[in-house]
Amino acid sequence: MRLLTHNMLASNVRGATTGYPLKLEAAKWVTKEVELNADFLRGLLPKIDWRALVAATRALGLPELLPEEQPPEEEIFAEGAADVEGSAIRRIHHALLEIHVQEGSLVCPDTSRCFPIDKGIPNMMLHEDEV
Amino acid sequence: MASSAAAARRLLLLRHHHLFPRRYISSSSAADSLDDGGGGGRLKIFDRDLKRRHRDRAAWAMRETDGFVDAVAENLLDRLEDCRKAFPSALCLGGSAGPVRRLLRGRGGIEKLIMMDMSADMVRKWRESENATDDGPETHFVVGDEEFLPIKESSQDLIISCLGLHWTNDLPGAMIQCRLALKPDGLFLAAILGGETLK
Repeated sequence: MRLLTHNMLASNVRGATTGYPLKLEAAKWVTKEVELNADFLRGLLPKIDWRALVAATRALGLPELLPEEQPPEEEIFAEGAADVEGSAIRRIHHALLEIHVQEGSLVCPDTSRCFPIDKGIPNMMLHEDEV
Repeated sequence: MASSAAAARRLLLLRHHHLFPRRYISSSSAADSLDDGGGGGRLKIFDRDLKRRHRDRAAWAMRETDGFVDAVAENLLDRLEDCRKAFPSALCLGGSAGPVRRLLRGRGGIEKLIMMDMSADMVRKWRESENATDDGPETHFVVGDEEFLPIKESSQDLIISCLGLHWTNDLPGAMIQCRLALKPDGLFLAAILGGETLK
């Protein structure tokens, strides 16, 4: 599960008010390099909940990866930024698309219901008495 | 193939901004009884847990390709070519999501695809075949229930459901949740088996 997916998931167990963002508890994660696509990120960024993304990176023990506040778009998509090691766009790309959580769980912020992540696939299924 | 083409012609095609679910469900007997139930929330027509187990089994038993399903998926995806808009992030719900991904061939400008099904075995199977082929959009996998869609509001450009929503007990509810998950002007494309589809 990439952090991009984490950013899009919400819990709707009974009793949850927003069910978002899910608290990430990662037991095992890996990184896999993928090519950076600035246009894709430009379209994606408005949909990303920055706070949830930052919380997820912190949960993985990467407090330095992203700043608390989202950098302005002009800075992220500045000319040539994609080629600079450690630039905002490179970090965002890395956080969203290159980190794969293999084992762990997602915890509903309202009810503490735990959704397991098994071999990289989050299981959001609810039991009959939870809906 | 004649029967599959006929079935495919009866595809239910819905655009997000025209989404008034109750208008579309009048031909389905399951949905009729939902209406009679009033509120339509909790009435149980399908045993979803049993359905999940059916799909676990189907994941192991199904063939790589199926002419009928491919015809439906192809017909559904054909609609993407009518849109000028691109849909960078898409969600593909259960049923025949495998063929949808395989037959996409770059249509709809999809760059990120989430494939979701209630059967964990089915999702694993899709991931195996995704690993085997290197083309297609960046794909993410989630186990989840379309009756309780675990997707954040206003986050998707496109939702595709190919032959999956006819198993939901609360079809309007599932469609309302899809609408919530879509961004404004997003597109909802679905094919379901209706009252007389297979006659």
